[in-house]
Amino acid sequence: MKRSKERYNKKSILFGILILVVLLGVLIQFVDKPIEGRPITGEIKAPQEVLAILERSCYDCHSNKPDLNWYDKIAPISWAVKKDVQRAREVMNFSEWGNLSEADHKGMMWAILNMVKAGKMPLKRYQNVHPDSKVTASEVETIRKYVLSLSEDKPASITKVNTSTVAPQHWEKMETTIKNVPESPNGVMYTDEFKNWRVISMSTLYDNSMRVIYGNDIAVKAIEEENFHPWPDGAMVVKAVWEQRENQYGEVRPGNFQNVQFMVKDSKKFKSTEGWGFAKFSTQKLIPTGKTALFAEQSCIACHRQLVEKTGYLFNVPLKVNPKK
Amino acid sequence: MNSNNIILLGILFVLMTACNKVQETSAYTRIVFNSDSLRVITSSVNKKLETMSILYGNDKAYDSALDSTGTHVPGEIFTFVTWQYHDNPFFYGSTINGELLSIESIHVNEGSAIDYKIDEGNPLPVNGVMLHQEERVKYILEHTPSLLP
Repeated sequence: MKRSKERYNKKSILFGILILVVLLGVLIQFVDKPIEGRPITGEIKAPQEVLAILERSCYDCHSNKPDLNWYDKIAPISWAVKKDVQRAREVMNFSEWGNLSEADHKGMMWAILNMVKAGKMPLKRYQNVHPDSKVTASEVETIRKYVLSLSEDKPASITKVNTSTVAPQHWEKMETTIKNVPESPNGVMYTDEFKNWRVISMSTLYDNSMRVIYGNDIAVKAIEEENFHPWPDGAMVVKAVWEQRENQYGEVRPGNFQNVQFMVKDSKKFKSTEGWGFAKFSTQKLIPTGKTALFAEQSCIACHRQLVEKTGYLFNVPLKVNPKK
Repeated sequence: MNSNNIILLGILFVLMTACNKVQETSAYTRIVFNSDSLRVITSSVNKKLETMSILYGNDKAYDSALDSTGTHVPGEIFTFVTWQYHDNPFFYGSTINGELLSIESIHVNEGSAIDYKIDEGNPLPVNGVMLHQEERVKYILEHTPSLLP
């Protein structure tokens, strides 16, 4: 008799817990607002076969028309989904593509290609729940062909040979046109000092630009000692970017100046971007990129974090290919 | 076929058979070229030979490169450094310099006498032609500075 009463009590406790869990489960559905609906202001334009891949694998997070599964809308899963979607839209939004220039469209497509090629996108945790989203090798190839078609390596026209819009003798005079030291919204200040630093590497980015990358003494020492995890505070790397211009020898020389890009290591100040403060100053007027301090979180770090964790988030550390002396 | 052409064909053969994908191993190291007090005058990329170069110079060298009238003063020092380049292993569509191929230096002495020296490696052809010393000096000194704010 006593035993059956105990069993009865246990049953009712379990039942009570179950009711409580169900109630909590229902209640948390009202804790957070659903993902904000945003208008489609300018859909991406690309060949149908490319769009089909993007729509299937990327649109849930990177567009204003997500096609989420029922379980994505149930808390607590929906909380994680919402956070991912918000972040993804900030970095890249196929429904607001109309805001991008042709050059930015090209740059974004190269970034997409690199992310899917390296298997970094869609995110693994998303793929686990949405196995259909995986981008296959043949789909990567479809994207690659499209991206290459955007950047055919056409020889520069003869009118471009070895000239710039400004004659060299006038270049130094242009320095005086900037009155205040430009500052990025996250507090990274422009400095001319990089011109006296050592060159750590050179690079090209498809047919779009050529670059010279400078490092301060702390950065050079970190490279020589392979001290990348983490890079020491105070390290600074500056990349100067020009358009490519072919000369009479069939070589490519720097044409118009495009921008300088800074990466400043300060593990305390730039916690949300892996300790690196990003900045970009464009044109001869050195106009800083970004409206708020959040710009680097919403753009730069996405590729750096996913693709170059190995080098402490830098794309252009010198290759390890020279004999030791 | 003269000996220059044979050398040229040899270089082209090596470059064409070389794989652009780079293999980094622990037997090698990452080097940062030390230009001492010289600063960058300009850079260039040769997509046929898959090389990248930087022309460095002291203040006098920079001024003469900027002037572009071809006049030189004693004390100018130029260093021309050339590297093989490779696909960037981290970003498809980007290239990055790799093996150091050659270092050449030019000193302008009293009476504008020009002293040219190969400090390391061998210079590569320009537009398919191996240049003689005088032509090589002219080619290097023709570079104008990159435009920077």
